[in-house]
Order: sequence, then C-alpha cells, then structure tokens
Amino acid sequence: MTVGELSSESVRTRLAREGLALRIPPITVRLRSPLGFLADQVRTLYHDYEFADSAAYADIDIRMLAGAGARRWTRRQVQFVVDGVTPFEPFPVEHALPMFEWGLNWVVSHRLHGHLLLHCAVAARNGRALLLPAWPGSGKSTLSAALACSGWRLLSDEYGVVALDDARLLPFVRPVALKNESIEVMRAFAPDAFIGPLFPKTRKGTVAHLRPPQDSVRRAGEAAVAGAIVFPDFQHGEPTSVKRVPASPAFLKLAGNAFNYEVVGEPAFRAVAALVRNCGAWVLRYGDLASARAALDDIMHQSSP
Amino acid sequence: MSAAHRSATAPSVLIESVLDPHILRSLDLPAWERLLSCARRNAVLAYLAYRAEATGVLDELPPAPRTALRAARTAAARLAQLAMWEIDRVARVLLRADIASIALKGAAYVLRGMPHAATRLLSDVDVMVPRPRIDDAERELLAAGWQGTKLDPYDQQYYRRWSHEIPPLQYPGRVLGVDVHHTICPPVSRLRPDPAAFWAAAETTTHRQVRLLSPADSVLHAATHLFFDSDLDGRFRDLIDLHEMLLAFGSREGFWQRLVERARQQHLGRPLYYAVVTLADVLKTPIPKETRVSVEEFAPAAPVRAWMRPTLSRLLTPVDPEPWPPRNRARVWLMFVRSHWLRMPPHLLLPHLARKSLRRVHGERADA
Amino acid sequence: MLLYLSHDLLQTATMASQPDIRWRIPSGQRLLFEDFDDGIVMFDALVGATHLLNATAAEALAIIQSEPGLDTGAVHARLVERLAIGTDALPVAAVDELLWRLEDLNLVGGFIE
Repeated sequence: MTVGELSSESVRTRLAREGLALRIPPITVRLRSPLGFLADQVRTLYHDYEFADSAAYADIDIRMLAGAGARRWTRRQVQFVVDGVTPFEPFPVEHALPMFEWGLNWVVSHRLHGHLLLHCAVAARNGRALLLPAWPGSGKSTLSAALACSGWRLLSDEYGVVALDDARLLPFVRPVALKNESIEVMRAFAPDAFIGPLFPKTRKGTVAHLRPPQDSVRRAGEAAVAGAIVFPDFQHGEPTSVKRVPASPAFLKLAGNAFNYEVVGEPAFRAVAALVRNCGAWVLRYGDLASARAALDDIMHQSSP
Repeated sequence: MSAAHRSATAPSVLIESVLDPHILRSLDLPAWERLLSCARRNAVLAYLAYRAEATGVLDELPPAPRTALRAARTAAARLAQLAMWEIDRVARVLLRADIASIALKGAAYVLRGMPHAATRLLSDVDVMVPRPRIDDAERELLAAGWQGTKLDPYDQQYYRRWSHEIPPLQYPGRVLGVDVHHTICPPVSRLRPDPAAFWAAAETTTHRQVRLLSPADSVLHAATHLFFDSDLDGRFRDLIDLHEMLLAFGSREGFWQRLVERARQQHLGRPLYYAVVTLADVLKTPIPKETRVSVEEFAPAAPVRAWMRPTLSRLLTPVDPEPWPPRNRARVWLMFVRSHWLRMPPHLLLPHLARKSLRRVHGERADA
Repeated sequence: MLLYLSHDLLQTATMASQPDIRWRIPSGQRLLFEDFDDGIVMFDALVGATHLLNATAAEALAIIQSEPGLDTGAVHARLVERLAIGTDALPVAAVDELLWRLEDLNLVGGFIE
C-alpha cells in the first residue's frame, strides 16, 4: 500500500502515534512527529512510496519533535531526534520537512557503509546509469530533476549508492531538493511536474521539493550498471560543450567527492576503479537545461553496450 | 531478566548481549531495532559487532542488523586507522625533537592492538609528554603544521593553569585532533599521582618509540578519568574499556597485586575502588576475590559508600534512548566530585566548560 | 639493529660516516595499484590514503616491494633500466628526493643496517 492511499487524517495519526515506516529502498525509515502540517507535506511528497508495518524493523528511526527550547518567547522550534540524540541545532518549526530531508541524508551518510556512497545524482537511460557528481555550481539536482521529467529513470539526486561487489548503482529515490532560482526553472521546464511547498529563508535559501516520478519510485529496487560519468558545470548563458576527462583525474574526482570513500577503504578503491574503467568520463559545461539534456542523451547513446 | 523476555529493557539487553553474544540469536527484529538504537546511543554499536564476531555469532544474525553492525564496525575501524596515522605523525615530530611520549586512552588501546580498540569512536588522540617539555612539544607541533585552538588570552591562562593539557591541536584537513598532556590528573586535584612513576613504569613500542602506560597504570588512569574527570553521563563506553582492560591484563602473572599496590602507591585507590565495585555490579567483570577485598581499604566512609555504589551503577548502565526529553542523571555526581576532589569551587569550572565547548567546536563525534 | 630514520635525523648524522640507507616497504603496509592509460592510482591500505602516481614513483615502489633492502643507488639503477631512460633524464639526486618524499608519506621506510 502506498502513502497516498492513506487519508491525510490517517497519516497524521500514524505520525503522531506509532510512526510511519517509509520504504525507501534500500532502507526503511520510520518517522514520528506530532506536527500535523509535516504529516501533510510528507504525504504529498512521498505519495507513491510504499510503507511498512510501523512495529516492524526500521533501519532509521527519526522523531521530529516540537520543542519550546530555552527561549520560550521565540517562535517554536523543531528538533531532529535519532537514537535519543539531537545531532543538529533546532530549526524553526515551519522548516520541519527540509530538516527531515537533510537530517535523513546526514544519518544515511554516517550509516550505510555497506555501500560506497558517492556524492552525485544518478539517472538511468537505456538500462545504463549516468552519474552526475556534485560540487558547488554543478546544478546536479536541477539537472537530475530535468532528466527525471524527460523520461529518464531517477535513481537519486544526491547519492550514488555503489554496490561493493559489482559496482552497480542502487537507487535511493527521494524527493529532489531544488533551491532558489532552480525552482522556477523547473516549473518552466516541466509544468506538469509536482513541486511541493516552498520553504523560504532556510540555511540554503528558498527550498522546494520535486516529487519523484511514480515509475522511478516503483522501480526503486532495481539496480543499474554504470554507463557514463559526467561532471556538470553550470555556467549561465554559456553554450553547451562536452569534454572528455581522462581516467586518473576522473578517479580522484569521484573518490574525493564521496561521503564514505575513506571509511569503506579498499572495497571503495576497487569500486571506483571499476566505475572509471567501465565508463567514459566527461565535463559538461551548460547554460540551459534543454541543451544539457540533449548532450546527456547523446553521451548515454554513445555509451550503450 | 533474560533478553527473550518482552519487557526486558534495551539497556539490560545490551549488557546481556555484550557479555554473552549468543543471546542475540533469540532476538526478534523489533527487539533488534531497540538494541541497535541503545547501542548507538551509548557508542558501543561497533563494540557489540566485535563481540558478536568474536563469538562467531555475527554471520548467523538476520541481514538488516548484521549490516548495521558491520557498518558500525567499518566506521570505527576507520577512526582507529586515522588514530594510528595521527600518532605516527605526532611521534615523528616529537622524536625529532627528542621529546618522549606516552600514548593515552583510545590511542593507547589502538597502539596495543587490543581487539576492542577499533571499536571506539575517537575524536582525538591523547599523548603525554614530560612536564618540562610540554612547551617544546607544543612549539614543535605548531611549527610542523598543526594548528592551535583559538582561545582568548584569559582562557588560555586558565586552561594551562587548571588543566593537565594544552589546548587541542588539529592538523588542517585531518579528522582527529591531538591532545597533549603533561600529567594524567588535573594539577589542582586532591588526587596527586607522581608522574615520574608513570614514566618509570612505561612500556616501549616499536611505533616510533611512543610508549604506553603499564597495564596497572592504564587501568588506574582510565578509572581516574572516568570517575574524577568526567560527568559520568553516558559513560557506559568508558566502563566497557575498563572491563576490556581487566580481561586483557587479568591473566598476566601478578597483575592484580600490582594493580592494588600501584593504586596505594600513587594514591589512586579511590578511583580503583569505584572501578572495581561498578564493574562487578554492572558488567560482572571477573575480578579475584582477594582484589575485591583489598580495594575495600580505599572505600569512602560507610554512609557515603551506601549512597555511592548504587548511584554509580545506575549512572553507568547504558542510557535508554527512547524516553524524550532525556533526563540528565549525573548532575549530583558532578557537583560532588568537583567540590570534594577537584578542590575547584563551582565558579572555577572554566577548564571543563572550555574543553566541552571546544569539543563542540571541533564537532561531537556522534554515533549516527 | 634496524632503525627507522627520518630525513632530518639523517641530515644530522656526521659527514664522516655517511650511513648507507636501505629501503623497504614498512611492515604492515599494503599497497594496491590500479593502472589506467594516463596514470596509476594507488591505495595505501595501512593509512587508507589514495595517491596518484606517475610512472617513476610507481616503478620505484614496485622495485622496493619486490626487492627490499636496496640502497638509493641500486633503486636508481633498476629504475633507469625499467623505464628505459638515461641517467641524464633521471639523476640519482632526483631518485633520492623521490624516495624521501615517499618516506614522508610512510610509503617506504629508510633503514640503516
């Protein structure tokens, strides 16, 4: 059963009591919170996600709790509680959803060491995965959102989850976080795409989330073989160009841009080597989404077996 | 209460499973989730994984808990690896300047190659140098690229005067900080062990001539640190370290006699007493009867003892992560220790506060 | 007796008795290599660090790994042969410099016997 098939009343009640155990392959995340508006937002963005019996095993248990804090006269705050600790300072209560999303990312980065976690978006086309490593100015989230709205399968906008035995990419499908100008850019690019509520004045500016395509959520258990690695470089107004990156710098860029490469150690070294050996690597300089998407279509077509 | 009993608390299941990992086989998945959460909260998840593996149980466990245990193990092992490297880099500098060094605490367990060493979530490495060389050590490390913590001159003065270490050092780009000590107890405390005796009994290693405290001194240092230099809140992990040391050293010829004798000699009997009674109570650590009798000479007066023992046992059992908000259980202990033993009036808490806030600046090593 | 030396300790050794430094991979060290067309990436399993090596450094490590105990001159001779270049292209001083840089990273250890 999917979250969207529950009434909003039901979701609110579950969150407030035993929790809602979201199936987000490869893990199950249980969320508990008394905040009704958070329940509504979660129901919206996780609409197509399956959920499990709340009493069953969850890999991560998160409580989003409203706290008065030490300053009773300030606006209400929300705390992110995992295993009885609050790893972060409280957020304003209206930012509960972005806090949940960022907090969940933090927990995942610290726990899932049975896989190599690259910091990149991953989308698949023609059975092969495209890795879009992240760095400031890459625009990888917007780019992956655009691909997701153009018939590509979205595996993740944030994590390249690499299996250590065969270097395949595992999906970790989540709502895609869009910031500031990208929100309007995506609305223009894909008017039919569902974008959730706006959260102005967060630490990262204005944030909103694109609901992942239903098909991507349904296929969230399906791994993909890597086909290409493209380092995106968004330069507003610039023409789109593509340049090959040799293997060694591609290796170092990928490894250096991972969440847990050093923690995983030797298997991560071998996995990155396998990725770089089996995939071409490029830098994609782009000024607009449409031509970027066309260039990526091209690269994937060339990289097909 | 057996772990299979539905109403067994997560802390009690955690203690039971650490002592006898075979009971893990009887846990259902909801019980597993509570256990893993409790282990994480008490920074012993990687340790639990090590215990499961050491008793051959790990591979029999259900996939999801097994994956979580392995991942925790991987993360902790990485920190131990970083600790070895940090010690290597520090020792190189100190050796060049002819400054002797003793590795302490987590760094020492790693250097000793103790099996549980790679299960601690280290945030820094601790090294002791001879008191006359502490300024040289600081200068050499700063010259070699480590950076000091920004404290204003007022805080600096108080730190150096009241504490037994210089402000923490950090090599840019590396994960673990370095704490350089010149003794093991705060200089103002009522506990005044003789540092020269520690140096005299220290063991050498092959790691760039870094030394280790003798087994007896290692235990006494850990006990002193736990009972007199910490707030006891959430320190189950430190109790485990003491437990592991006694297991490791306990079979050595003459160890127990040396331990008691050394405690007497170094006036560290009280911490040893607390360690022995709490370990026997909470972790059922195998301690010879003669030793348990001998440490009674270090016990406080009867009324204090009556209150102290159950309090310590309560404070040092694992924290249950589920109740929210959590209660701070340890304030009473903290005030007692500070006023009696550290001879520090409450308003002179700056070293403790400074150290705590510095830890926050460097980032708490949360067990995610 | 075998002693680890650091570069600075060596500098302070008396000129009259220049010790004969021999090179080994430090005990407990494990080096893993992945060769690509444009370079060699190496994983230092002991420390958990990744390095990008050029052909000279990679060959030097491979030589020391397979023949522990060579002095700098011997490493140089084998390097020049394996890389098929002349001593002009790779003087001994350059190899000495390379070895001390590798030593600094704990990838090789310098010994006096």
